[in-house]
Amino acid sequence: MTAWLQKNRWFLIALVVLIPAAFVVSLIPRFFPYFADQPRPEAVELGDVVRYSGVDIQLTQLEVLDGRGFDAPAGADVVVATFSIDVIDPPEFTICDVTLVSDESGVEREWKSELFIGDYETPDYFETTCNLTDVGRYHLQMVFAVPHGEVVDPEVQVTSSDALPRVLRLS
Amino acid sequence: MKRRGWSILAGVALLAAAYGVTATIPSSELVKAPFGVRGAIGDRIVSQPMIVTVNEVFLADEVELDLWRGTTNGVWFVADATIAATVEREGVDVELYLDGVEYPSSSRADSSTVDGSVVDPGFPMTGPILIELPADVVDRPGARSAVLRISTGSDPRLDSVIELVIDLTQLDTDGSVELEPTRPGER
Repeated sequence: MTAWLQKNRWFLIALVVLIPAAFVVSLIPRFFPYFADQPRPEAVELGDVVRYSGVDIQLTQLEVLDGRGFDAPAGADVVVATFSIDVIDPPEFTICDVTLVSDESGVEREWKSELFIGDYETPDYFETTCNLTDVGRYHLQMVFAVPHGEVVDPEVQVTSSDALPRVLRLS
Repeated sequence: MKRRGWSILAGVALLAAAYGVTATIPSSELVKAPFGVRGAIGDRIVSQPMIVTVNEVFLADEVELDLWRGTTNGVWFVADATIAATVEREGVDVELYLDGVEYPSSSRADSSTVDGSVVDPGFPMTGPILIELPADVVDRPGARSAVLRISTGSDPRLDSVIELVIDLTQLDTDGSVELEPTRPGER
């Protein structure tokens, strides 16, 4: 057996190298591009201004309100996120997506914003939809319905399709 | 001579193995088939995108839902289900498979059914599912092992879907049934 190993040692060494190499090469066409395209969240503190997709974004307030005080749907709390947005050097076209994210239940969950929740009223001063393409400054307020008592310390995720895979996580 | 014999044998074996591999390559449909998570009526079934409890199933000749009256030349398969998303907002899509034939859920009742609606994490919705089936469905092949599939969309490839095997021949058949429309919460 030792003689056989001695005789074939270079072939065996080549196998040890080539089999993992073949595995890695097989990942090149699909897995690596998929991995590279995955969103990369960047943490931003409440009150900090960050330049993203040619826009200065600041989360100015993030509140979790008891939904029972606003006639929200049964079992819902209301999360209110308020931003200061200054569009400076926008891309020609981008889609802005704002979601609320929480991993407090042990798994990361996310909720879309709602235009209305119960009788919570967004002051007229605020815009209620995110726009990252028209130059100028505005204030944005978005509301989210979350399960009552399950979301205490959420994050707001802002995504500009033009800036992917970079995304912002503000809290 | 003996060594040459082994070489020929090994060559033939490798050719046969190569033929076997090419002959048994799974179809694209099979490679991309959804991952079924199975459960029974009353079970809390958890797939990757949603949590589902099918509370009850039965057959009915006619259904009433809000102001809509659903008549049919066939028979209604009726389920009451509680559905929530696990991670993010999801649509709800339902089909019944019977002996390789797909019967989609009916959209005739507009938005009062739980299928076709959207669900969010932590906000279960309970409501009816309606599927129109042939009148003689219980006599058809596969009626004892129909599969109710609940998924997040019309393209379930490589997705995690919820499946319940249902014996249609054992279901009660009601005449006219008044159903409760989709509402928040569990049953």
